[in-house]
Order: sequence, then structure tokens, then C-alpha cells
Amino acid sequence: MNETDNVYAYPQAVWMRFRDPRHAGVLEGHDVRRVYARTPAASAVIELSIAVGPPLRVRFRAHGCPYTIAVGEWLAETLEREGLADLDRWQAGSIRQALEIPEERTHCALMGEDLIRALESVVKSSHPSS
Amino acid sequence: MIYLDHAATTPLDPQVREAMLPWLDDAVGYGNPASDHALGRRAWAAVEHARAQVAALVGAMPAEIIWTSGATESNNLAIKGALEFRGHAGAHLVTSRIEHKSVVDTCRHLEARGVRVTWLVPEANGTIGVEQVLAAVRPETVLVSLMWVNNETGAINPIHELAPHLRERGVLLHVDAVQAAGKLPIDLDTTPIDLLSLSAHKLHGPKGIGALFVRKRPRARLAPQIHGGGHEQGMRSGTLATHQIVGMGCACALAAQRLATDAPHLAALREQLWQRLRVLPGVYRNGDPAHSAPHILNLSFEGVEGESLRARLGDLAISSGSACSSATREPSYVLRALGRDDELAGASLRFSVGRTTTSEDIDRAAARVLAEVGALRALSPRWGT
Repeated sequence: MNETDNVYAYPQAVWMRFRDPRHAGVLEGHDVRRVYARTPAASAVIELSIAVGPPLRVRFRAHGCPYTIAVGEWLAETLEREGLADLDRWQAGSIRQALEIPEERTHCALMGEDLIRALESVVKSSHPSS
Repeated sequence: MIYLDHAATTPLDPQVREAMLPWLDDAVGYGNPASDHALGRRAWAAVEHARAQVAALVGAMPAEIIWTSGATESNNLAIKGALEFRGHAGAHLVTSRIEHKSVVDTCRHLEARGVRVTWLVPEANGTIGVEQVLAAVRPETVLVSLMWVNNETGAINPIHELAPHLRERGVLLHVDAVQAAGKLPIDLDTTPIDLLSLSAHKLHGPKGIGALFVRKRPRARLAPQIHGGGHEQGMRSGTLATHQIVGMGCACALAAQRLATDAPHLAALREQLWQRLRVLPGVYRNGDPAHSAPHILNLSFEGVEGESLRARLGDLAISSGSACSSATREPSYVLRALGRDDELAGASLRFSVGRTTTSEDIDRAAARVLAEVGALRALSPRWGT
């Protein structure tokens, strides 16, 4: 890292995902589900597209501050790794903790929780018996 | 690092540094300019030489230049000093929403003490119009305080046109000329401004030194804001910082010598940057280029968020104004007047070029901006849909 990198001192977990997102993009196909969350006040939006597979693949797009973009990347990578089970355990607090998001940016983590709740609904409607 | 933030501050010119160093010297440079002995008289002569250099840049008489710690103090002294001398009771002053914080906060301070303040908002081109000001003037108006060049967009207020009207009406005119000095010709001999603030570090001089022009004829009267010792004709007490003052004098002399070459150089670099960046779709130039100081280019970028753009451009020293927090987000009066909504205003960058900026710097900076705007737009679900 040089002096012109991360000059605003974002938490490393945020900076890595913001600067070099590995799961950016959009998925297409019959098995793809797409969910969105937005915060009107901050005009931020995150979109997740999930190909349920197998294999499960997740991509994101985001418009917003570095925390918003990092939340999108973290959700995509974590969903791919851990799958769609136990979505009800995902909360804004765990997103904040994982990315070291400061209190004044809690709205970015809440947007992540909103996405997970939206994804839960989609999963339940796709598999009503589960 | 590519430095494009000369409206915030400028690097010290090597000639200015060279001029300052003897006055930091233990052998002969430390005399108090107020002392009546050889070392003191030597320092006094240097201070007076610098005073004449500053006066020459703006077409003033040396005795009309009062040293301060910078433009913030100059603005405070001008506004508080004029109102206090006249008396706050029933007094009225006119200023605008787009002034520097040192003017806005000083006027708010006076407002809290009973002074009535009219806050003008900029017209569609980002300037404060002559007619707007004159319509706000009342019989009890003591002072109009306006900046010459807006630090956000570079928009030039019509000070030349306004000043004679206020003189006719017997209203004092204070001008914050921090972004104008060394960029635009200023001639106080022919422009009836009463009070004018200057800062050294915007002109390749040192930080911590500024000046206030206080007209002698007709005399602009101020109540001092710092008491003790009666320095600077009783208007600003305190031992003079010879090395800083010499630095400001040298910086002003260089600015005067170079005005005819600096201004077109800066304007050419600014236009080069605009030509490189205007190829992007959804980029908006804030301000009217026909009425803009040569060193500032303010652009809004559609489809990106301002904080993210600036974070990805850490190798460029540029300014922005917004943060991703609904609690602290304040709309820019200037950019709103130009028709930008809060989101576009938040995605604006101010580039300000300087004497040491090169054409290569501009090309490299433009390439970085094009790349990062492109990367953020590619990531955005809102761009191109």
C-alpha cells in the first residue's frame, strides 16, 4: 500500500472489497433470482443476482459510498461460501462487525440486512414447503 | 500524487522561501519591527518593503495594507470592525449564502447580536448580480460583503460594476479577494472597494499571514478586534512576523510580475482538463466559463457517488464537498443554483490548477478520472438502465 491508497482510512475489510470487488456483475438465466435494497436518503442501492445452481453463484452491483459497495461484495462472497441456509440469522449487526462499519454508517449495513430479508422471501416463495 | 487543489493552498515558491530564510536567521533576522534599534529598524524596513509589494499587486497605497494572520482574520476584522465602529443597533449588512465560512460565520455571529443580515442566493450562473445587491440595500445598510471569485466554481462576481453603485449610496463594500488575487487584475485605485481581504498561501506564499486593505480616502473606519500595543495603525495589535510578511510581499511581487503569463497558462490547463473529460457522457460543467476565474474547474458526474469517486482517486489531490450521511449532507447553494440536484452536487469534484501544474499532469489526472468514473458506473445498477 502506498500513501495515496486508502487515504481516507476506511477499515481494511471495507477498503479491500471496495477497491477490488471480486463478485461485481450481473447473472442471467432461468435459475437467477434478483433482489434489491436502497436507502432513499443516501440514494444508495445494492442489487444481488443469485444463480441457485448448483453451484450457487452470487454477483452484485451497487451505487453508493465505499461502505455500500463493500457490503455488496461481502454479501456476495459470503452467500457463495455459506449458501442460502440460515438466512434468518443474518443481521445488520453481523455485517457491521464483519466489515468494521462505524455507527454513523449503520444505514449501509441495514441495507445489507434488507437484501437478506428480500432474498429470504424469494427463497421461500420459490420453495414454499421449505 | 498530482496536486490539483490550488484553490485550497499552493506550494511555497522557492523564491519566496529564499526571501524568508534570512528573517529566521539568529544573527540579524530576529529583530522586532517595533523596536527602535538597528535590528528592529532592519526588520521594520523589510516589513514596509513587503507592504509596498502587497499594495502594488492590488493598486493600493502601502499605508492601506494591514497585516493579519490570514484571510479569516481579515474577513473578521473587516466585517466585525465595520459594524462595531458604526454600532450594532439598527445596523444592516448584506452578504451571500456562498461566501467562505469565515464570512458566513462572522455574519451569523453579528446576526445573533442584533445586526440584521440579508443573505443573497446566487443567480443561475452562480454569481451574485448587481441588481440583487442593490435591491437588498436599505438606508441602514452599513456594509456589503461579497467574494470576488467563488472558491467552489470559480464564478466571478461583478465587483467592478457593483462598487461604484455602493459608493454612491454611501455603503461600505468588503471583498474577499482570496481566489481573485494573482488570477485577475485588481486595481483599487480605480475600483471603489473599501475593504479587501488577501491571503499569502493562495499565492505561493506562506500560511499564517494575510492582509486587509483598508481604504484611506474616503476612510473606511474599523473598530480593532485585537487590542494591545496599537500596531498597524491601532487596527491590529501584535508583534509582526517579519519572515511571514516578507514571504507574502515576495509572493505578491511574483504574482504581479506573472499575472499576464499565469492567467492564460491556468486557463489553458483548465480547458485542457475539460476537453479531456467532456468525452464522458453525463458530465456537467458547473459555472459559466465566460465568467470564471482561470484556475477552477468544477464538474458533476452522473451515475457515480461522490465519496466513492474521491476514495478511488487518492492519487489526485482534489476537493469535493459531500459525505454519505443523510445527517450531515448539506446542499451546495452554488451547485443548486446551477440546476444540480443534491445527488449531482454530491458527485462533483473541484479541480484547481496552479503555476506548477503541467500539461502532463492534466493528461494523467484526466485518464485517472475517466478510468474511475467508468469503473464505478460499471458497478452501478443505476447507470445505463
